[in-house]
Amino acid sequence: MDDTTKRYADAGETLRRVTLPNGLRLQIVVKPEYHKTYAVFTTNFGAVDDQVRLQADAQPVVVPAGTAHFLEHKLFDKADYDAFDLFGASGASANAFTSATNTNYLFSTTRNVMKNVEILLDFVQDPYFTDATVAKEQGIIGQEIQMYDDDPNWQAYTSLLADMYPGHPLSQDIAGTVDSISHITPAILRTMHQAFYHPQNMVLTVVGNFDADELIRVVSANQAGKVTAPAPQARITHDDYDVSVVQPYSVKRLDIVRPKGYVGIKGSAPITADRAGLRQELATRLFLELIFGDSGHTYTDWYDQGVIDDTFGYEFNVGRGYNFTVFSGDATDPNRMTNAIMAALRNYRANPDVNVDRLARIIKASLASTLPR
Amino acid sequence: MNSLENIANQLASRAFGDTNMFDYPDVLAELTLADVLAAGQALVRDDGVAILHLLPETEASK
Repeated sequence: MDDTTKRYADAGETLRRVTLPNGLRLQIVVKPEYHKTYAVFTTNFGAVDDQVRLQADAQPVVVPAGTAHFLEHKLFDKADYDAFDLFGASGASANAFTSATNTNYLFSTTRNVMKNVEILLDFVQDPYFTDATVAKEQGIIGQEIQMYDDDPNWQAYTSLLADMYPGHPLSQDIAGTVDSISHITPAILRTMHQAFYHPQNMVLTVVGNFDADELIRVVSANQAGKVTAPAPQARITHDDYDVSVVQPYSVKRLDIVRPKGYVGIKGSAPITADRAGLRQELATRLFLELIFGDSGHTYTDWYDQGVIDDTFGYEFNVGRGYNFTVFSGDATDPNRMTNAIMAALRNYRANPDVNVDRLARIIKASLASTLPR
Repeated sequence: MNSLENIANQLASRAFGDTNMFDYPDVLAELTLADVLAAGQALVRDDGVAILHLLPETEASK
């Protein structure tokens, strides 16, 4: 068992990392001054992972759009109980979410931390899929998808991603479509669970008020009882940095009152998962905040001139195989808004907000919001 | 967001990389305006841009 503790002096935090013999990793942050404990069980498997090679020279297995999200829903559902109820009975509240590259299962509690950790590990690692429960879930998620389809912001976002990443899994909604999920079967769910819910592909993160040694003992005992074959998966990642396929302009008409404008910028090169990559990611976020942050001249001028309203925002996303920036907001004249964004990007060197003092203020504010003390 | 929840989710979101949120202060302290402008330069291009306008339906488009 690998067990290391690192003190991050600048952050004022201590992180203990443990790797169990079966490959499961733990990230532990003990906070005795808090009452609560949060635990997140994460698999490195999300909506973009629609293909897996089960043996070295085998043909890839391709699964329908929405499989990772479907699997997330289905894991709560067992033969004679629902995992949500177990957490409830032990004083915890549970949740789960699927992103493009990860699936997360979490609980928060003020009591019975160890009991709830066992519930979390067991329900995620012990799947129960039948034809009947899969069919029932197709109905439930189908309704969820129709709700998303009625949300203009969601539709616009999905359509902007499709303009940037045509043919890539990112162009599909994380939940899939009513049609794609109709092709999901118990066998597909079992295959993907075996491939990606292997302990080597999972991390348990626990933050809060508990005894770290006790946690490690409880998780080790829990995992020792689970015999796991070697990880069968060879992930197939669709790296997409090809800017030549981007659809530069599109218009959609929807049942809305006020128009909306979107600008997407597709990353043309990978941002690595190491420290150099983190530097680049944070530098990019700071750049965007310098130019477009609501404490700057650009935002204030646009707001006063009616180019944007308070729905204006931007995000920078970095994932396995892709990165992109999105600007969005409601606008009386979306053409004026998106032209203003493009002009601000082209002319950033002449922007008076690009200076050392403002950068220092933004860095300070960003630290205060990410690491509150 | 509650800070414990924030820490748990941020640690989880970077669980498969080589860095985590506790590296932020250190990395941010190293970054200069030149680094930030270099990142901006990499971002600002005319290719790879997708613009989308969402407009109300007209009688003709319904």
